[in-house]
Parts: sequence; structure tokens; C-alpha cells
Amino acid sequence: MEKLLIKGGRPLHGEIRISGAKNAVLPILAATLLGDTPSRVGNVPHLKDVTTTMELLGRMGVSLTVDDQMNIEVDPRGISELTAPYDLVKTMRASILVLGPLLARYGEANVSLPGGCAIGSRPVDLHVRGLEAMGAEIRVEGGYIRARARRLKGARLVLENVTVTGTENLMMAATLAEGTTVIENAAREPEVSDLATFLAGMGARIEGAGTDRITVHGVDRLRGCAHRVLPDRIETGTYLVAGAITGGRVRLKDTRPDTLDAVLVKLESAGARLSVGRDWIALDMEGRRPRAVDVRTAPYPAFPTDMQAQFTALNAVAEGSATITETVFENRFMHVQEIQRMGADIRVSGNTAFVRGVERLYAAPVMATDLRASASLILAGLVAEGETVVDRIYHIDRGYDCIEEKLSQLGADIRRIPA
Amino acid sequence: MELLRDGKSRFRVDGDLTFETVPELWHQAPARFAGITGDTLTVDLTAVRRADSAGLALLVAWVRWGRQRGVRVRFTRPPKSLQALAAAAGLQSLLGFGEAPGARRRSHGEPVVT
Repeated sequence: MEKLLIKGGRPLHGEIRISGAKNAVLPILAATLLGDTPSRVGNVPHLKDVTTTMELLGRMGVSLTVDDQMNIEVDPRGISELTAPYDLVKTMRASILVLGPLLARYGEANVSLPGGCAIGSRPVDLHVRGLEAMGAEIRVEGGYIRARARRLKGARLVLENVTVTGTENLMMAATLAEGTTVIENAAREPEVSDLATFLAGMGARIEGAGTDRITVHGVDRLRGCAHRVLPDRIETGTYLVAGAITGGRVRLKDTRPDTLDAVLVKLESAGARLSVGRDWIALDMEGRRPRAVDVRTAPYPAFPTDMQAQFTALNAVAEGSATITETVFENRFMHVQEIQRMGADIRVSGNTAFVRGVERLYAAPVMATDLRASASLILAGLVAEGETVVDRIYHIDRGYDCIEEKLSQLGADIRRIPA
Repeated sequence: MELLRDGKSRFRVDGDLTFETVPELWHQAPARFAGITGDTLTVDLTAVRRADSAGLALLVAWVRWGRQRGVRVRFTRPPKSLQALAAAAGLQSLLGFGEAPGARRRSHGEPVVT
């Protein structure tokens, strides 16, 4: 198994480019299945989950062409297999995103029940119940969701919990349904809006994306279109924290600063000097140690749960004490035990972590438990004294495009150790 | 969508505050705000037609802009849709919104997948 070796203690300086958003590109690639003609998707990040999605589509008979700029042309016209098999779905739970498009466009879908990383309970019931309300016949058999429908029918869907992929799956399914679908208690993340923009480019009629009530007027057919994926706000936030935690100065280009103001507010409270332009953000800590900042996760545009672990690492070496309250996911403090092994002073009670900043962390072998936890361990490694070895980095490869190259570009001493 | 000046430190948003319109306004507003006098900037939201979470994020950005300069940013007459979004994200107090009439906090526990 590959590992990352990080020698801590270097302030980061320099400029890097931010990649397209993982949480936008995966549903958009799934949505290409809805079209009668090929789509062209740009600003695609080099991620394991993207490769897995491409393999998934390829096995269905979809033709994919990738150029050297990571623009992907997806031609669904040769589709022959309407199945997402277990061996792929178990490695990437976002595979469930093909359920809605396959069912809406081809009247049939067989999707293995997902695996994925171990954050809380993430049932797919809401996807299934929503599609059933739209007239699909669904049974779970042999570990597979087997769905059939002649043509889906518009319905009013009230989601019991806010679910990003549930909202996306149902929104995609509704584009080709007969009549109007209303999704209540929808997710409001910018990646949902980006998917809606892509679908609108295909000819879908969608109102209210980015609000908790999305209305989709079904159309008879969709055509392929060209779309450039939204920049990754979590990747942006992670590199800003990398700059802040090391007392460095970083500039991130090709990003969307308007999608992460709640994070910028916290970084300023931590003592960072920020400047922003239309598509860039610069952070300068002027060599200072960060100040501890309280964080409470909540739905967009409040502070994102996907940035919680990174701010836990930041607070671990900050001046003062802070609380981190996680209100979105259960069981999302698995990184804490690992950072504690590096000398952090953190106590967890229920959904809150109490962090007392220490002057120094010490390198240790640590193990990544999920995607964002992995990022927090790398951040801790950047400031720890000695050589930190991060194991199980396949999590990080799912969500961060060329992380060791980008951190090296900023001056970090980090390298991948082959298996 | 336009950001119109109503006085030395008063502005009015006219149009949609959505994922499509926000990037341009996000970029333009700081230059428009730069000439204000006094320690309070008032932004009237009466004429906002449609708003989404990107629009709400823009208001957070303006509060951040004000904090950097010691300026209090005050939003007046936000539409119910924005008040409800702010309530769901727990941002009423940051934005100075009262509880929206009829607004209810949405459940946001246990998202299925991200």
C-alpha cells in the first residue's frame, strides 16, 4: 500500500492551480448518460473517483475520449449494459449517481448497493423512495438495486434528510420524467447548482437549484453539451489551511472565491491576511502562528463539514483553545485520535471537539480513515517535527488531484512511497 | 441584476441573487462599496427577485468585507426566501436577519452521501 512521507517544518510559499470539484464532476459525468448526443466536460480533476466513474461508464458501453487537458468527451450512444457492478460501486459510493439517469433515459438500472468510506450512516433509501414516488418499480436483490420504469412521472418529493447525491440523482431522473417534479428539502451546495447548469445546457428545465425547493419540468429528450466543472472549494480551503498552518504565503488560482466565504471568515479570524480576485485567493500568515478559531459546521453557505478536519489540525497548533462542533455528519472525528498521536491536545465529547493548541506536533506513523481526515493528517505532518508517514492514502487520491505535486510546488517536503 | 447606489452608504440590489449572477456581483461590489462614508453600509434587499445559497454566500462575503474595514454591514428587508435559507444554514445572526415568518429549520442530519 502506498504511503506519504512528510518532513515537517517548512512554511509554504508559492502559487498553485485549483482543480475541478470532485463533488461536481461525478454527478456531471453521470448526467451525460441522459443525452442523445455526446457531451464535453472540461476542468476534470485527476482523481481516483473520476477514473472509477470513467471505468463504470466504459463498462456500460459508453465511449470516452480524454485529451491532454483532461477534457472528457462522453458519447452515450453505444450504451449496452445498464449495470453498475459491485466491484466498482464498493470502491466509490457515488456510483449510485447513475441510478437516476439510467432509469430515466433507458427505463432500467441495476446498481450494486454502495460501500465507500466510513462516515456515519449514509443510506440510499431516499434515492430509492424518491424514484418509487416517480413510478419506478424497485427491488433489492442479491445486493443490487434493480429499478424499472416505462417513463418516470413527475411527483412532489420531500426529502427526509438533506442529501447531496439524493438531490442530484432525483433531479437528474426528473429531467426526462413526464410532468413536473418538486424536490423539497433539497441540498443547496454549489455543486448541485453546477449540475443544474450542466443539465440546463442539455435542455433540461430546472428552477430553484441552490435553494431547498427545486422544480424540474420534464422534457422528452436531452442533448449533449459542453461544460466546464466548477473549481473545488474544499481543495481551495485545504491549501489555504496548509498556508496558514505553516505560517506561509500561498496564492491559489483558477478557483471561485465566492463559494467559500465562510472558510475565509475563519481564516481571517485565525490571523491570515487574505486578498482575493475574480478567480484567485492569496493568503499570507507573515510567519505568524495561527490563532485558535471556533468552528460549527452547517449546510452551505455556512462552514462546510468537509473543512472540519483541516481546521481541527489548524487549531491543534494554534495559539489558544477552540471548539469544533460537527452538526452535519455523525462519527466524523476519526482523525482526532491520529492527530493526538502526534501530540495534539484534543478532547471529544459527542459532536464537539475541544482543542487546546500546542506549540509543536511530533511526527508519527498515522493512518488515514477517510478523505478529509487524510487531508488533516497531511496538514499536521507539514508542521510536525520529524518525518510523518501517512498510511492508507488511497482515501486522499479519491479527492485531491496530485496533492504531493501541488504541496511540493509550494515548497513542502513530501513524497509518495510506493507499495 | 444590479447593485444600485441609493445614498452615500446605501445600496439596493435589484434582480436575482443566484449561482449564475453572483460571481459578477461578488467581483464588482467591493469597488462600488469603496467610496462609502461612515461606519455602516446598508444594503436594501427588497428588490431581490430570486435568491439561492450562492446569493446568501454573497451576503456573507459582504459582511466579511465590512469586518476587514470596521464597517457594519446591515441588510434591510430581505425576502422570505433568503431568510429561510439563512435560518437553515444558521446564519441569521451573522447577517442580522430575524427569524423569518413561517420559516422552519430544515433537518440537515445524516446526509446520505456527498
